[in-house]
Amino acid sequence: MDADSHNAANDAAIDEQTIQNLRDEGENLLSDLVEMFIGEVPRQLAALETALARKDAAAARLTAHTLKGTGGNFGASRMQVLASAIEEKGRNGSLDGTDATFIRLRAECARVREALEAVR
Amino acid sequence: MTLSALIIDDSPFARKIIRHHLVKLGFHVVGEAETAAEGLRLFRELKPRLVTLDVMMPEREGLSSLMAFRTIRSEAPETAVVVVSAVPFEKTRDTFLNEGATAYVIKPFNQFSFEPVRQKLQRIFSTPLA
Repeated sequence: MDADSHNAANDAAIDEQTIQNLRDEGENLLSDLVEMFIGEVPRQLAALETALARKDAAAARLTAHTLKGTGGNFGASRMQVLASAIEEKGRNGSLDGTDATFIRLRAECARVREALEAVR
Repeated sequence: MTLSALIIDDSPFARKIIRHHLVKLGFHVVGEAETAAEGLRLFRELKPRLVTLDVMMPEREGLSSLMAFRTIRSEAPETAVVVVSAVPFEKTRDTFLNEGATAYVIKPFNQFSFEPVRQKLQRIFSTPLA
């Protein structure tokens, strides 16, 4: 599924079952991870923005991969799809068109953060 | 007997979750590293019984995860290495498993997807894990 078709297919920022699984683990795992998200994702986005501005495909690929993984922990599938699209571009060595994807990714990260703050 | 473990992963989320699962199983996490190079240093210093190793990390000091894995296997083949990856590429998985990885687990994981790993570790260490 690509970044565009995913928009229509799934509107939930995070996956309810994934969140429940984390909550079931106890020991504040979910709230600790949410705190981590709030602290880490702005740094990851800033690093990605810098990599894209510098046309550094390798750095963009790695940072996008990290963001994809971050989203995966919460079942944030749209965030994952957008990050994955940039990762793939980075892997191919061409970052054309990634600026628009990055803007959508940043907006999606804000949406995920909002959803996480509501469930922690 | 407490089994020691080292977590090598650049994602703080993954380290947190892996630590959570390992502690639940009764492991004592003796160290965490964000790069393969740092992980290898800690491995030599701490000599853990188990290492969890992320496949895809930023390469530092010219050392990739695969190189770190091969070094660990070469220096201490008795150490269990669970390879953790966000990418389900069969070729990558086969490379690690053919070279002696204990398990290859796809991130993100939870108690259910971690269960086969728990069973393998239990067999290897011949000790009940929670």
